[in-house]
Amino acid sequence: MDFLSALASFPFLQYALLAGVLASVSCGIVGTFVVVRRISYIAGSIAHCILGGMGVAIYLNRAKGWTFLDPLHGAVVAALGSALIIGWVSLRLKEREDTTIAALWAIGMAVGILFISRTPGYQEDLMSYLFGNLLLVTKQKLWLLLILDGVCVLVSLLFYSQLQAICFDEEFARVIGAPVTFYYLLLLCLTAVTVVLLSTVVGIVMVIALLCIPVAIGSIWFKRLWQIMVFSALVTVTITFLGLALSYGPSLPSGATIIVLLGGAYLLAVGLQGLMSFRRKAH
Amino acid sequence: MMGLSQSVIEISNLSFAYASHTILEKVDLQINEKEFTCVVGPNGGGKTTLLKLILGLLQPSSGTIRVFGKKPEKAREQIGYYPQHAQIDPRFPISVFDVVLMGRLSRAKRFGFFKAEDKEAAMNALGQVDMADKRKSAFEALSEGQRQRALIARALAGEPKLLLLDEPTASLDPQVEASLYDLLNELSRGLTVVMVSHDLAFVSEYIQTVVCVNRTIAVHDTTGMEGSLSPEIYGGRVRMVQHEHDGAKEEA
Repeated sequence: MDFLSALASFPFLQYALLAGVLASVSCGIVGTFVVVRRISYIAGSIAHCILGGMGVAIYLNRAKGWTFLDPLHGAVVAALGSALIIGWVSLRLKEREDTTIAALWAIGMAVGILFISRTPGYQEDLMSYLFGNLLLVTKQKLWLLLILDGVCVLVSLLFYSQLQAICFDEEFARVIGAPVTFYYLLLLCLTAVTVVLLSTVVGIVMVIALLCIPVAIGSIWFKRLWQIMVFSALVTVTITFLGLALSYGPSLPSGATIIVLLGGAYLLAVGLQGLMSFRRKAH
Repeated sequence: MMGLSQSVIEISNLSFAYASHTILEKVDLQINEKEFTCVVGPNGGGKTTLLKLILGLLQPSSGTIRVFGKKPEKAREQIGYYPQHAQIDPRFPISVFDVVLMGRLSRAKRFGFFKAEDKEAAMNALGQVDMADKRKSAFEALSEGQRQRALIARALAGEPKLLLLDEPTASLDPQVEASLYDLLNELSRGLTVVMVSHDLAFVSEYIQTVVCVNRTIAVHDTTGMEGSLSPEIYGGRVRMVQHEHDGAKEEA
């Protein structure tokens, strides 16, 4: 119970937990669309482009004195930019889609590493961006995360049926005259914003796991998108809490702990489902 | 009688080429109101291309195509579309009713929720395909035939005057296929039905016109055809199509 008393007395732990809660909401909603539309690799590419944006922002901040610029600002711009590029390419030149995604994936990271290497001063941050450090979340960042979360939730609630339709059958939506391009780019931008939120929790490298595994667990039992969304958000909150609690004492990396727990939960869920269908057959 | 009915699809002197391959050449075709038409032809013969031209998803290289007297893109609100089955994930987590509601997407608002009239139209469409009691089921839990009916209901939910179906009979067992034809025949009393079929030799006895597509097209009237051929294979009464045109001979 060490963790609970620490949670009560240390604001940085409270901030960490709050970041997890904020991320879980849009993670549940957008993760569900990402999984059923099968674009998790696009989310992966967007996540790695974030490092590029962060690198440029850190460089401008420290080397050029743009002190108002936070790495998170760079992350948002890079995420939205890469989402729009990928969306445009995948709609216009279907056959070049995976090449573009793979290229952006690597170029985004390379840009980030180059800019960070040219930044004067202590470079403690790179590892925490890659693998996440919940304990570094500040109050200002929480506000930005809250705004991103609000945008994400509002837009996806307003466009729930439309996004569901293009995930289910894009060609049909196009044929009956729905603005498919707009909805698809909207979905990718939501994904970009969510990826930024999640990267503060588990870091850039492990974003896809946090986006997809809770949804994978939810879709074992639930057969409606909104049910999967609610359930996977609850899974994310629970696992983030457990991950923080377990990693706090022995000071393990929190992001990696969360991902391992999530993987364990998924295996447990799959095992449970197998057991249940086995028992049903036996009866 | 034929002179009184309105033409729904009018294609004249249409050609379509993809890169340097000519897929359709000098096609003339007229489909009238409340006809039940089947488009057949070998794979790669241009069936799906013809369908996509009618939908306005492809533009002809030359010639004209009019649907309800308008350009195809402008007529989409009056078209109900049933796409090829393979592109839909049968395990997608969604209720049957939500699938059918998608058919209202073009009429509904660009964002927000569906209105009461959209839900009413979706309910009616489910009733038309005899699936009203399944509205709350998960799409995944349906049988192949029921899933198909749900997708036909989706096409009907937009209250179309023309129903276009791309290979609805593929991968169906004969009984289900026969009941699908019953349904389409029923529907063709109220609207024009055009379906694409992979089956070259036999079509349902309900079908009035057979359009054979193999680069060029030939139109057969089915009234003079034999009706007694192997109903046990096809699970219903069928007619054999005798392809007495050049396209078929080239293929044979």
